[in-house]
Amino acid sequence: METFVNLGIAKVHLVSRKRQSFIALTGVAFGVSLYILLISFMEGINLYLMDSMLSSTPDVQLLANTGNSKSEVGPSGNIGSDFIKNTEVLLDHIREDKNVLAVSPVLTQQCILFSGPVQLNVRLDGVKINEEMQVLKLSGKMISGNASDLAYKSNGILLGKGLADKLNVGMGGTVTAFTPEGRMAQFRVVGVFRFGLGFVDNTRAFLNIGSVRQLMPAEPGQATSIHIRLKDPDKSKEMAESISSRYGVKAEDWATSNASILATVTARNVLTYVVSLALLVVAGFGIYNIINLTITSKMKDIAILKSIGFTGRDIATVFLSQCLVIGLIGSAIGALAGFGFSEALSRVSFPSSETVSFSYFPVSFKARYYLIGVFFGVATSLLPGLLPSIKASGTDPLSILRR
Amino acid sequence: MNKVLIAEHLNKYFHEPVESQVLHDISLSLDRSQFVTVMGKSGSGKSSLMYVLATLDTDYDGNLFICGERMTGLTENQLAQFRNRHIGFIFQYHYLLPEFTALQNVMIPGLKLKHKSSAQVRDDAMALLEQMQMGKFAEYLSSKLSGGQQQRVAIARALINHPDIIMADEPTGNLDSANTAIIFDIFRKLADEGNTIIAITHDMDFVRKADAGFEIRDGSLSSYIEGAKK
Repeated sequence: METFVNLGIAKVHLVSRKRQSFIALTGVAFGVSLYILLISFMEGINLYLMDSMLSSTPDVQLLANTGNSKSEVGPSGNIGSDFIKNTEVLLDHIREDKNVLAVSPVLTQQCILFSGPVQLNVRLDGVKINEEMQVLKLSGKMISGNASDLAYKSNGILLGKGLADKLNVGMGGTVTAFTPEGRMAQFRVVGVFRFGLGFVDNTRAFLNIGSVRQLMPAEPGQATSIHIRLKDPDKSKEMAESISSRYGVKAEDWATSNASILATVTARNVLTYVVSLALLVVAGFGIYNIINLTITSKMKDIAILKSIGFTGRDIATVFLSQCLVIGLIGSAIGALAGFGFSEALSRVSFPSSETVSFSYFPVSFKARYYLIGVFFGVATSLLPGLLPSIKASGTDPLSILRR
Repeated sequence: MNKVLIAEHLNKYFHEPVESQVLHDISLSLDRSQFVTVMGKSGSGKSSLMYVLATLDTDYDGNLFICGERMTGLTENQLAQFRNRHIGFIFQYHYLLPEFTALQNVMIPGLKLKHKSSAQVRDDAMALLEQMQMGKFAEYLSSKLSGGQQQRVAIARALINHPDIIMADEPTGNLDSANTAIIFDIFRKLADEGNTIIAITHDMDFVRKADAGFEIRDGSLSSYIEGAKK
């Protein structure tokens, strides 16, 4: 009320209508906090999925170029049984590329795994485990055992968590593999991993490339695919294209391999924004109503202020600053409440499930979303106030004084 | 420049509901320290004249000068600033801001003008309220005051920026006789202290207190009444 007379008047208006101001504040705070909660939760899920995806998928995967014979089914009846030729030469070439962090040759064989009465269709990935571990982040995903133990246990096998559970085997247990061609071999479980993606954990097993070579059988130096980890995963697409054209192999980047997961990430983001914007729009309507009501009931005051020397701009300032204050305080409360809600949600235990590996709701805390929330909160308070304030600033004091 | 207000050939028309002329070629001038009333019956055009002179109504023909400055043709914002600095208003219905205290109401035009520190404005406002015998109501919400009290606060508000001219629109129109007498005395005192006042009224007693009085009839200034000039 002292130095900034317009703000002083705005303050008196806000304080003298405590209930209305409180309702407006609550609306903004509610919208902002729910936006933050929603986006933090969605981002938590997305981060989890991205991490699972990136750690279980190589940045670039090379496959044999089946060329025109795409429909041709290999002798084992499995897709992916075509071999990349001259693997060693190709590996050396790719390794020399400065963008490449690690490469790993993989022999993949579909087979049926037995353990007691249970039999399951499984994809066996024969790998040189020390090289593969540089491509896939296996070591951080082990539930039991060490992935690197595979290196000196020639008949060892690493099973996905879902797979191990269904086969009902644990560390040290044995499983029998049958190929469609009728060959068989026994393996001992040296580790169980969980990437957190059901379709990997339920159907994937890693073993030494030599074991798979014998089982197939394949020639030394043959591989069904080559896994590549890049220094910068964002270059995956261009690397895939350049390798593909240079060496005449089929190359797939991780985004293409995981297109369906990426699509769900996008869908979730869109949904989150739609829902939280809808919340804020509703809060905005509330504020529009309140400010409009205030201005209508303050027409006489506006006329007085104008006759004693307040300009249209002053009048607009009086009402817009009320919106701004509601927006700022509401957003601040909303951001705090959003943080509280997110914090609380991150402590709620997630119903256990074999497809996901988190035990609590995944929530990400990013300053960026709090800033966006506050920005939207302030914008949804200011925008609805704009029209009524302009209307108020143009009010002709005469029309009120004449009455 | 002894003329505080000069109005030349004011004509004003209403366009709604039908075209009609409210002010007919009104010319008047006001000396500094003069207390003038404009009397007229309801519908005579006295309020319309008041709003034109007060620069609130810009839809007229003719010329208006206040303190030697030409008001005609100024923008709304320029007029608002001019009113803040040079004109003090007193309306019939007090027109205080209801959520503010008596003191705040008086202070607002002063704070708006920013010629003085807010502490200085507060002191001035307090002094004016004391002068109106309203000192002990300074912290009351204006909506809690009686009509006569509100009008006295409104007068204090009109005086806060030491205006060159005080314009009053039926300042006693809504008051009982006791309060009317108080307001009359205040106006007389203000005039004696050298303020320039133009007041619209329909009260003959009020006219007699003034230095001079005009009568407005059917939109024309029709007569000039000598008042209680000392």
